Amino acid sequence: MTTTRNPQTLMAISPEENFDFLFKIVLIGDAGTGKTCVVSRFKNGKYEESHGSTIGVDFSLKTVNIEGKQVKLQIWDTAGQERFRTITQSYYRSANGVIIVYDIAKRQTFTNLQKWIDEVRRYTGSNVLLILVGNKCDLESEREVEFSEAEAMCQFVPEILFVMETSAKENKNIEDAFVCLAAELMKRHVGNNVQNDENLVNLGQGKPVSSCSSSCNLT
Amino acid sequence: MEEDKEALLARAAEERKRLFERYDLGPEQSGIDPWENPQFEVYHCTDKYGFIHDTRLPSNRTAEEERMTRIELERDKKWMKMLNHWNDPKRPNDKLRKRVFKGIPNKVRWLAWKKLLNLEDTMDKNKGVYDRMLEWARKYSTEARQIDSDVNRQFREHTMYRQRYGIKQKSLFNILNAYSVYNPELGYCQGMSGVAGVLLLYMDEEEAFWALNTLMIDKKFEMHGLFVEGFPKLTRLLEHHDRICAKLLRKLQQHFLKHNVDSILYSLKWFFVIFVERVPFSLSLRIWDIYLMDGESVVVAMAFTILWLHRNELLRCKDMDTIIEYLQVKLYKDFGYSDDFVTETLDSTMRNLRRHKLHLPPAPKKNEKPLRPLGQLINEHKMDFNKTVGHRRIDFSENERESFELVKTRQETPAIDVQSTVSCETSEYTTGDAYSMKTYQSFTSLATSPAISTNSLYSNGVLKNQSFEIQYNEDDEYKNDNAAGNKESPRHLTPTKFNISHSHTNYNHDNHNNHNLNNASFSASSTSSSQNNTTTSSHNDSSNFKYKNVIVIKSNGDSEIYSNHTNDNGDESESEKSIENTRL
Repeated sequence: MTTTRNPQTLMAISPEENFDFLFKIVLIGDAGTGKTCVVSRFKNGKYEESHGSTIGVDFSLKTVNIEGKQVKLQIWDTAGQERFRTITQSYYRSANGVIIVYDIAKRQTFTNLQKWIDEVRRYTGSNVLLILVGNKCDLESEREVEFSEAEAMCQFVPEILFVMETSAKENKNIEDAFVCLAAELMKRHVGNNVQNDENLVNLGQGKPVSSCSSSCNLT
Repeated sequence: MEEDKEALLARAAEERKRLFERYDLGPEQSGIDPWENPQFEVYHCTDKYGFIHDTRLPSNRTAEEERMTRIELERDKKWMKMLNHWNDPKRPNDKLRKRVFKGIPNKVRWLAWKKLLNLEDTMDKNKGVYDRMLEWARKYSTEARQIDSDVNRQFREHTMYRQRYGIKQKSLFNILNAYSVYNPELGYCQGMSGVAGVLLLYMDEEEAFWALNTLMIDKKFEMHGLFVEGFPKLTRLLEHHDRICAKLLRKLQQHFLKHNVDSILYSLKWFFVIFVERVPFSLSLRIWDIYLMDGESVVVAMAFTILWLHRNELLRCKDMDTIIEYLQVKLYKDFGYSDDFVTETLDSTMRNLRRHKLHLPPAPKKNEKPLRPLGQLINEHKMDFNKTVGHRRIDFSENERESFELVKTRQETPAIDVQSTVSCETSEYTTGDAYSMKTYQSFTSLATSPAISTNSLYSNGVLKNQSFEIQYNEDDEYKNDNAAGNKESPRHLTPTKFNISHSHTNYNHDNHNNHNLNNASFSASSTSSSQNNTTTSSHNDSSNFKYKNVIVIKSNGDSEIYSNHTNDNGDESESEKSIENTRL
């Protein structure tokens, strides 16, 4: 038995396993923005009302089908408290995709985004894809961050691929966020291997959200 | 985005005030979002500890449960007697110990924990302090925001914490804020809500505050160093854990390294919240009983015990995903062994680690203890602006930088290792990766303790039926004939002795032969002593090495539990199988 490896993640890919791509995705963002709920909703389809705060890093897996390809997502859910960054940052480095989560009902989680982005810049590879997720969009009455502000930030920070408002509680856009990111990762991965691929997207350049291959709806 | 500093501070003060007020108002206040009060079908699905489950519990109790209830009722009486005569000099030394390992009955747990932590004394000496701290916290706590967010999700499926702003939620919010003021160097770290949350299940607010303080600063526990910025104690515990595994669970450790599983991934939460939410709650309470009695040696031993009990299943996990899933999720849902069996195994593990002087991690570093006196009011003007208003810092403090570098190095260690062993994949348990790991580690001075590189080994452990005691035959312990300071391990030697062919693999002998030479005198003794009770596996050197680490089971007794391992072992861990099949 020979084992191949994903050149980006160094993860072993055993041949009998049934997937075409493997991507490592890390969720970061201030504590209490709902990272774990987002992951849990995506993975189990459930909104977990009862789970403690994440200590260190939790790990889960989900395989999605994108354009007929099995894409396995390795999801790393990190503790949000500042103190834990010494541990969590070392997990960014080999990530293929990073999802920064903020809470639309808590202004300072949005204010801190710049710091999170700086951390990503500092600790990840240059070809990491970054998306922004404004969670808890069901709390419309408590909204402290307008979507237009997030969009403006998206324009302002070239690394951000797209921004999306989600609700883990009401299952809005959760799947889309992951699938869009995965589809883009897949596209670029193929693009890297096939040099003259028309769909090749230059690294570091955001792609318009509207052209995202999945059914994400940002309106 | 430049907002006025004063305005931000005012906003933070207002926010803190509002947070405290909401807990004061309690669950009857208006404006609680319905999602904050999850509805459960309470009465049909609450277990004996107060946790509410998604599905109804079975209405009939099993015979075993009935039996356990009877036993626990008997124990209640014995415990009440013992608690009433706590300082009785006539009590045999090991009586308390034995009873704690059997499990403190849930009914008397609150009394027993207070005794174990000597809370009455502490509270006598600190009258009025808690109230003062709480008062200060209302004015100055910089952690209220974070604590509120964590209280809102700590043990929400427990009847006591179910109601938003309910009495226990309020207590939890209060003690964590008060403690962050009492011990400002530590402040509040996620995970402390779990520790305090467990304590509050069995104590009132002020008791839990002092219990938390004991766990943080008492020499036996010293969790301060675990939670304080930079986590200095975490790295020390991890290194110690790795050292134990290198000695006693080498094959599993190699397996983990091969699949990029750094111990920090699975053990962090074990250490931070003493196994809560990583093993079933009933088992974590049993571990807590023992932890409150014996302190951090329990954590070290329990971490090893989990891996040891599940080593065969873990060896069958063929990638990082399944290994982590197993340790993070599966064991929480179903540990696979009875709580009694686990604590008995923990007991023998602790004794054996002690015998081999591995029961305690190396001495704490200076920065693991509070440097400033506790309970002093800090100057308001010196308070961290960013912390107060909830801004994230970008730069590392010195402690943090140190911790970051360590974690990073740990991350890189297996990664380098994986690259170097790509060609060894076909051979399941090659030593190549362990070797490169070790040289790398000693190179980066991660493994500076001689313990990791001495050649003394356990051998021929026997698991006895009654006491589950794991005995290591001291006679078979190896002596390193080589010059002191030789850091090589004997495992590289055995391939020649066993004549194991690696011809079907790409295993590169040349790299390792050099190291093997140093240990020539080893091979004879190591193999002869193991031949009596092991069959030579078709696997290679490291499996042989493993023979001496693995506990051999006597034919009487435990075969029930262990035969499971043996039976569904498959071909994958043949070396273990050969041992477990061997009856003395």
